[in-house]
Parts: sequence; structure tokens; C-alpha cells
Amino acid sequence: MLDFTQLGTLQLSIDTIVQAVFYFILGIYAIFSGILYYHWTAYSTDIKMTTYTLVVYAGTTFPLFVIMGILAFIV
Amino acid sequence: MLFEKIKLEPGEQILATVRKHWFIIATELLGSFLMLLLPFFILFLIAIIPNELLLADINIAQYTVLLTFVIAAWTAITLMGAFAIWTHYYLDLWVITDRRVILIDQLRFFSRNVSIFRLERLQDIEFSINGIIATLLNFGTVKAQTASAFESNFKTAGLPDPRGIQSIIQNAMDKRLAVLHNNPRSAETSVVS
Repeated sequence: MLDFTQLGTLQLSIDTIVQAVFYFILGIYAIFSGILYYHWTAYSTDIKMTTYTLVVYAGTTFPLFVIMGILAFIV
Repeated sequence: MLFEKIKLEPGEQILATVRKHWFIIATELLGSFLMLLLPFFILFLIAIIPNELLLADINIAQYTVLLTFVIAAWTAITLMGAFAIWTHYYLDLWVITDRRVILIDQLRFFSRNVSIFRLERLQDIEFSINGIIATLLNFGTVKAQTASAFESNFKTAGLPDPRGIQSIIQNAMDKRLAVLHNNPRSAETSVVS
């Protein structure tokens, strides 16, 4: 039988919360990156600036997510 | 790319593409930069404030991994915000051709306003430069009024060298009117196309 009196309390470890936050931000990042890519490829006037922007975007944000992933799952 | 979507008319030449002044994007990105520094500033404050003054006994060394994760997450979100600002800046532009002016206003990611007015329909173009910084750096608001039945005013703030933009449009309009005066059929063919 399910003990409904236990529903009032919820215990989550810091690790679980950190992993959940990581997945949440990763989801936002994936959606945002798709939107950004679409806008730059569809509406830009200069292919060089488009390439430069997308490379800088990936180069600055992707390593952060690698670090976050390592911290959330390995450390 | 944008120019494939706009579909320039045969023989139409782009005279200038104008984006907002660098000062506009610099001030907006400065906000992102300050947000980037915020967690480090908070850590600095915690480090310099004596433990007696803090409400809780905080030992930062115990939470190094968690703090690194939080700072990395904060930095990633701030960078995404900064790239959104940069995207809105770069994709927001005036394209001045020898036949028309195309205004692309990237309001948000899914809110985009594209206005086109033909030079022969242009009634008035004016600019205003307000403030010390705008005067020193030469940027201001350009406003164009057309003989359209619907929305007849086009206005963009923060454009560089507004006097130059006005001059380019005015010269292009004069040439266009001269061409149309000599060959009125070219107006009909361009409207049909």
C-alpha cells in the first residue's frame, strides 16, 4: 500500500538536483542553439560573419557544458 | 541568406546596408559582461566580509564543485543572452537600394518586422541627433514618411551617420525620380515584378 503521509516530504540529494538542473539547462541550450543557427543562416547578409558568430558561440558555450557535465556526473 | 529572400529586382543595386551604431551594441553587451562578473563579485564579497558579520557560517572551500557548476551554468546562460543581443543587433538593418529602402526590425527571435518602401513614394526623410554622446559619436534617429495608405512612417533609432543616410536616400530618390520621369514604364514593370 502506498503511504500517502510520506507525500508531504521529498528528499533529494544535491547530486540529483545538480543533474536535473544540468539536463534543464542543456535542453534550453539545445533549443536556443537551434533557433540561433536558423536565424543566422536564414537572415544574415554576410556568410563570413555568420560562420564567425556560430564558431565563437560554440567555442565559448560548448566547453562550459562539458565542464558542467563532468561536475554533475563524474565529480 | 537574406538577399535571396528579399529578391532584388533585375538591375537593382544595393547602395548601403546600415546597422545600428556600435555604441548601442556596446552598451547592451556591457550589461551582459557585468552579469558575467556577478558571481565572482558575490564570491569576492563573501571572502572579504568577516564571518561574524555573515548570518550563516559559510565555508566556500566545502562547496567548490557546486560553486563551479553554478558559475559555469550562470556563464552559459549569460553568454546565450549576449549572443541573443548580438543576433538582434546584427540582423536588424536598413538596406538602401537604388529603387527602395528595406527595413528589417528584429524585435525578438520570433518577432520580425520587414517594411519596404519605394523611393518614388517617399515624401519626407528626416533625422534627429539628441544628447551629448549621440552628438559626439554621430548617431541618431532616422525617420522616413511615405505616401502609403497604411503605416506611412518608418523610424529607427541609433543609426550611425544619420546625415549620410539621409543624403544617400535623398540622392537615390532624386535619381529614381529622374529615371521615372524619362521612362515612366520602368515604374510599371518594377511594380509588377
